[in-house]
Amino acid sequence: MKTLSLKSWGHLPALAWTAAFFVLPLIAMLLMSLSERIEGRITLTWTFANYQAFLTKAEGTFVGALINSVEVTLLTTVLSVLVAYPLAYILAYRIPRQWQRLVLVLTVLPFWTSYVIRSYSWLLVLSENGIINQSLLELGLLSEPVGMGNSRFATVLGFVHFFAMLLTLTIYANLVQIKESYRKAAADLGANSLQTFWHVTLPLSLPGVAVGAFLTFVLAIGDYITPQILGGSKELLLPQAVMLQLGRQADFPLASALSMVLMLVVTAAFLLSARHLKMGRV
Amino acid sequence: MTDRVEFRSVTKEYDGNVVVAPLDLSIAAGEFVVLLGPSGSGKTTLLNMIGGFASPSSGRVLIDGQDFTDLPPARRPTATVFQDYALFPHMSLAANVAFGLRMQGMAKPARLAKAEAMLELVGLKGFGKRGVHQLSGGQRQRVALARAMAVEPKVLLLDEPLGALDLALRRQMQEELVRLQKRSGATFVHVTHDQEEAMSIADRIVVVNKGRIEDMGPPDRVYLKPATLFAATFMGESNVLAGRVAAVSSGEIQVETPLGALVVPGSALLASDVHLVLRPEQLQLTPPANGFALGQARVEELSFQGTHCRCHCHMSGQDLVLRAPVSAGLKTGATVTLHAARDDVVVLKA
Amino acid sequence: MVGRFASWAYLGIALLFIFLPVLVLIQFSFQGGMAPVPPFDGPSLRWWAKVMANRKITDGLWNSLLVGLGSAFMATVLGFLAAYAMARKRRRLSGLYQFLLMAPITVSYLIIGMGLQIFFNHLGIGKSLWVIGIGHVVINLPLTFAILYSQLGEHQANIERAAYDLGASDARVVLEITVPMLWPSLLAAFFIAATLSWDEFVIAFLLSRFDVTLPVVIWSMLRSGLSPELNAAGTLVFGISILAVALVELLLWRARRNRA
Repeated sequence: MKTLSLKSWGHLPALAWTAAFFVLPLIAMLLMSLSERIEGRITLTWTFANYQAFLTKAEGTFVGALINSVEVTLLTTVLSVLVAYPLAYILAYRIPRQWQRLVLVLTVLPFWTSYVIRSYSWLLVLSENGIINQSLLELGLLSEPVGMGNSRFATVLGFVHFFAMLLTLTIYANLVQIKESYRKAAADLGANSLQTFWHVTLPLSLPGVAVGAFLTFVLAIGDYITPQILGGSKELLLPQAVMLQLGRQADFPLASALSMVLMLVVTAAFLLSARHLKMGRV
Repeated sequence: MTDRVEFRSVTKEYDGNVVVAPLDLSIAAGEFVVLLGPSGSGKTTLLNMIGGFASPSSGRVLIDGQDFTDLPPARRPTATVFQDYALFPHMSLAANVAFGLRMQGMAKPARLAKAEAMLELVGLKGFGKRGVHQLSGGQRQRVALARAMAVEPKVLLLDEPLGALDLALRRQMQEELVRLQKRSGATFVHVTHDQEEAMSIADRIVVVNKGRIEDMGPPDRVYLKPATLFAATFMGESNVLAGRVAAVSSGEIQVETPLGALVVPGSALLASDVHLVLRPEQLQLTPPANGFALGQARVEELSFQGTHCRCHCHMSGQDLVLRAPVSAGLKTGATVTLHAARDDVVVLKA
Repeated sequence: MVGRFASWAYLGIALLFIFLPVLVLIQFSFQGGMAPVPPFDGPSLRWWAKVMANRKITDGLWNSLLVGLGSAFMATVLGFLAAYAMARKRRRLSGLYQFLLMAPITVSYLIIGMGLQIFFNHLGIGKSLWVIGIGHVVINLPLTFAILYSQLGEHQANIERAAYDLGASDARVVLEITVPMLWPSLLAAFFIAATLSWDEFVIAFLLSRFDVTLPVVIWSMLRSGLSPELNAAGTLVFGISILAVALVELLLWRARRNRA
């Protein structure tokens, strides 16, 4: 009777699902990255040619794409934290408690809108007739409209817009868990509000920042939509390079190798931040 | 007559740590037993072994002479009142109280009537439709009690149920627990670390420390004549004099202490180490009948307690605590002569 | 730390930043002419009419809802079962199991989608909404698991113990105590999984052929040229999302109000 209890088998379906549709596909992709196309057929030859291609092919375009991806992602993560933290702080400590949930939901409402549409709508804002160009022209800061789309600036802007909302959620969730008595105790012991923030609130809120920053890093570095729509093809990011191999060339082995490299970068980021990550808290 | 609950050489180990050393304990039907001990003493583990939430590493747990060691909580004639009350947050109070009856298959009208009666018993008449979130801590406590008692368990197990309540409410609930226990005739086993609570409600106190029973008996006996040094210091305050037996005669021993040689009733091996224990209120300023003088002490610290003055004294390198009557008018720095009645002294093997 | 005025000013600027693209999008869904970008020459409903008549969009909407609700249901059920078993029984391999269950969160959607594409292709299983749903369960399972696991602490364990103590069987404890007790969290987990799935692009793109989901439809509209129809479609999606958020917030609010 005990063996039939949910406690003893409940984890098995989820583990089986993860093993079958996550672990096995990753292994398939790893094997694919060690294969090559011979006369149109993909054969596992245990070759490292695809990884060599990553380093050398197309005059280092792929290595460049990797560097671009890491740069854009790091910039995005840092800027998103800088935008989101004060917002989460104001929501947690400046808005009366009974209104907090409503204001929070309203603040991150665009978070729930279509990801593709959200990226695209920045094109409208950034276009030569768009609101930003028009405002700058009227203020006399510009003498003629500037095309702001199709650039790294646009990509980072689109990313920060989305991930600042995600980070606001994780940081807010962390901030409201910090007991008010800690801040009162610090103030009582003579800390001014800046010292209280620096020595008490900020350190205690770092887990929320770490979780949000890590999610930002993972989701941003693997995203294809935002750089494709807003960044265009002037400079290639790694996911764009992967999709290019899949789409036009159907070169699965090379795309797999590129993906493995991408995964390696994320794993490195995970190991660097693993200490601070407690997913359950958010 | 068989005992209601019986532990037979029960032990419990967690990852190689001994939580309960081999232990025997019998609890009679209708008894109100309090397991008293510091946190980590193993008292809650003992409770959980009766309730079926923990199983012993070895030994048997019997209820009414029947072996229940390996049966799950659901199949035991016990019910537990949890420390955090563990009320079902998604059910009304009536549904909470009626839950056990529903599990027994009782029909809805009957169990709702019983639930209402139980709520009335704990002073929550007419609260049945309310939700758990609308209650204060004391009210939750009562609902938890009503829920556990509704199934008419042979043994009701209470795991520090009053820990979260304020002092006044705790006193009131202590009285109500005793009233409910006498009325229902059920056996209550109550776990606490509060010795005052234990003394005010128990028929019998079982003092537990490091998985062993240090002492057990009626509260007055355990307080006045503790069996071990631990029982003496955990159950209220004690003055302890370490000494060595210098002479033994029939019914009396002479003990060398820091305060000099004292002759007290008792028996011990010649030259063995002993502890003499005296309660603060047993140290007196005037000679009692059949008493002896301990010597002169200097008053170091005084605090007014309403009914008495608590007084720290120093005498020959020994600190002593006594309760002096307010009328004695003691002052810090004064010198007093301390006395004690011979029969009050408890001799414990060191 | 931040002055009152500075707080409100920052909140205002942040809200402007967050809502700016959405507001522009909504405005230009009522564009009159052919250009999806400023200057505005509306208002007009011509692009809304076009969107409503576009079978691709309505089909995509339906497919997205199907995949979103289905995969969210699956992810919530699997996540709950796993969270319950992991929280209520210690195992020698608990650490490894937890690592495995959480692992997909550290891998980009693109890689998961590509892995599944290669894997299913190798098995000879064709692309379909089913396969997309499978992928979405993979990415959402860590979230539902983590949310529900965090809600199965010692206090909840005590509540379950009380039910066992009063004679409930394993099955009744789960069905009558644990599930109703966790209802708000189950609802939240389901909702988060459903919204992430319904809006997910790259897995849906890689694993679909004939039946496509809404993000893929919008993507292909985008590729075939910008038009105000896109703005109207985007506004429609935004409206549906807001309705869903409002509905769930209302449900959650009611569920939480009835709790301690």
